[in-house]
Amino acid sequence: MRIKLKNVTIKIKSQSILDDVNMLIGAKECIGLIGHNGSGKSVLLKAICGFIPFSGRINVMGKDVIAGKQFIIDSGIMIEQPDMIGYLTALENLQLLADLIKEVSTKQLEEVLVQVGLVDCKGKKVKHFSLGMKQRLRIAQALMEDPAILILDEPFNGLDKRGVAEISELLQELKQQGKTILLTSHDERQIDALCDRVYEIEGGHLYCVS
Amino acid sequence: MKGYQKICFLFLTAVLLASVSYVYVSNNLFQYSVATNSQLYKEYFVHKLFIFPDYTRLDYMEGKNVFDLMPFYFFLLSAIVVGALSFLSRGKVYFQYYAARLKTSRRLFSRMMQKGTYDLVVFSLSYHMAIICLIVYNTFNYQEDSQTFLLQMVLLLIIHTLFLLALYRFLFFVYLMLDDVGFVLMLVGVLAIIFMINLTFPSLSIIFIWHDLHWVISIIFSGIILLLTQFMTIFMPFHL
Repeated sequence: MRIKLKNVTIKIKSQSILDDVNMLIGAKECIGLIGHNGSGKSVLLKAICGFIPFSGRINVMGKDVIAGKQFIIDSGIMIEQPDMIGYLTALENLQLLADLIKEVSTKQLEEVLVQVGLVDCKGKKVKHFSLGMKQRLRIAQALMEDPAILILDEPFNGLDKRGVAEISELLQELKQQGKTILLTSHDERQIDALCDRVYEIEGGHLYCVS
Repeated sequence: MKGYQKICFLFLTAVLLASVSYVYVSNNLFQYSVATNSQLYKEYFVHKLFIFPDYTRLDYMEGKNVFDLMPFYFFLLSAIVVGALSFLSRGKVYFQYYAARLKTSRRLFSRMMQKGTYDLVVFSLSYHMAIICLIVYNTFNYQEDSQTFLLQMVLLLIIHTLFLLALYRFLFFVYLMLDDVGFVLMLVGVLAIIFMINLTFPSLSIIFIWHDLHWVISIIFSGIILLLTQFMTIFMPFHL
């Protein structure tokens, strides 16, 4: 199993957000999380990445995640759509992040831009990007180191119909390649079409709905 | 801004700030010089700029008021803001991209502070160099020991830069706990408190000049804060 959650409980300011969550996710699996706004979907993703305190145990790729100290490994993440740097081009933004660990060549960065359909805009400054293009770039940064796990919070946000179809196809392809994908979405049709299992978060509990 | 553009911007901002501070101080001193028909020394400019707290015994420091503190206060404030822009402008959520790649909070914090540290040092260096140039250029015919003046300025450069680095690192952790608004309020408040403490107890010499050994306490103070922030780098968690 690539991701293991055991008795995970998350409280924010003494208010319980998620209670006693257990989940096992393996390779080649795509898991969808649905739920209304504020139900705790993003909170759960943050906990898996190690960005918020939790009780219980979260283990990713055989390594325990320690909240705030030891983050998720071998993963590409995108939670809450953080902005990329506006005055840099798409390629420069990716290069900046690639330079942190120096495992990706410029050629690989260009390949990932091809994958998300942004190669024609690689030299364009991000501040001139549309919402959909920014979203594609965020997805590109998650993919660029070819991680085993992808954690994507609302990956279809801001995308038009064609964009949704292209990104769905890309995620499907990545799943076939053996990647583990965990994503949230408001669009239940997309989730159903893409995911092997779908969980709903309701009242702080996680229910497997399909 | 790209690398060289940023360096130019930092340099020009620092030179502009130094020039404004210098003009303000030199106007005061020239008025004093005309009124008392006395000669000016390079040291006077340094004292006026960096607030010699024992000014009651020096007649050229007379008429000191709160506005005399402003140039130095704004320099410290601007230097910290210049450093902090590297993380303030991106927002905490952006650093999830760093966290996922760097794996541990310790490496993440070091990386988050790295760019700002560099910018802050460039800014402080430019400001002090500009002050040195302005004083030397405008007082080149004064009879006095330029070597002592330069040594004093180099020491000031070192203690101010160390102090700024310590405060910058400390405020970085404040930002992690309290976000942008908390950071700005703490920055303004902490600087004001340090000014008040140092003016009330001049011999503490945290940032202001106090006789020959003024730099020792400042270095110890900054060293303690730097050590404290090193512990914070190890033990502080990163939460979104």
